[in-house]
Amino acid sequence: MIRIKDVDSVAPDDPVVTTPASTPTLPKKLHKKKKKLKEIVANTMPEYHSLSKAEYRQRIYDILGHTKHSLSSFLVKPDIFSFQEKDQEEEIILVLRQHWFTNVHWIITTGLMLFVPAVLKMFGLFPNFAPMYQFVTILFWYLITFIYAFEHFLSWYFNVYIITDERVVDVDFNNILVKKFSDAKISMIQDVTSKVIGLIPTMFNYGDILVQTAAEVPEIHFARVPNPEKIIKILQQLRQEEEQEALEGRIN
Amino acid sequence: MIDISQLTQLFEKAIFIIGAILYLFYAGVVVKQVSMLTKNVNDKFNSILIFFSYGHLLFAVGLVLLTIFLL
Repeated sequence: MIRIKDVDSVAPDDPVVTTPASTPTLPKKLHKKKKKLKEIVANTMPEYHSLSKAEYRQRIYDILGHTKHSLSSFLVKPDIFSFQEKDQEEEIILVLRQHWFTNVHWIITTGLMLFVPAVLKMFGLFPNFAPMYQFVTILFWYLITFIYAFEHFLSWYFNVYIITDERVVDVDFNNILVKKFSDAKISMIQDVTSKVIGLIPTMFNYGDILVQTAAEVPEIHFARVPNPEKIIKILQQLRQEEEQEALEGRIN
Repeated sequence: MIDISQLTQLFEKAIFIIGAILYLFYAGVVVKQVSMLTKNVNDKFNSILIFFSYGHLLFAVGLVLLTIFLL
């Protein structure tokens, strides 16, 4: 007869059967100390091990690559960039502007405007003013040409879309009197859609990104931004990072 | 007695001066606009853009002076 090991009742010739050791289980009550609980989870359930913040950030920068130059529409972690509503500890990951190709129309128009006085004079269509008046008219025309180009440049340069480690920001300046600032936390993003429609956007790889949120601003629209597929990937990574932080917060 | 051609010249000069003054106001608005934009979004080229806006304003002032004194 096989008996369980019991020092009081085991005879010298009885085979000793030891009961198998019990498998480790999580304590029923959550341990108060944060460190111990994390260790238990890591040791007993390795499938729940997740990436650290630094690893997520590295993945994001691997996807983004490097900024080519300061006037680029795709600025990765710019050295000198800030916006008025930025928090002290907030890290700017990506700054976007509309693709450079969207500026071609006004650049061409500016180029043509520069030649207008010369062409008019060539064809004798210039108004029959006195020489001094003609000079002032030409000067005035070139000032208008300059301000036309300058205003378009300002509109392109300052209408930015910013992705930080905490939120997504859209800064729009329609004119001097209208500033529109929209932001949404990364954790509130519900859906991200990208659209690249047309021959030229497909050739130059730029398109629209619609970020649907559960915040007060239901949708943030990134219009005609470069590399939309990269932007979607980094938003996905940031959302995963936020979800993990929320999960760790709950465990903690 | 005032000649019609002199009147026409005066009228043309007045149009040019008024146009130059209005443009000067617009140049002032542009300076204000750039100042507001650079406060909201701080970037590397902000100082260059402010320089251009003031340069443009100076040209507009020069245009007004030109129309008043040389025309």
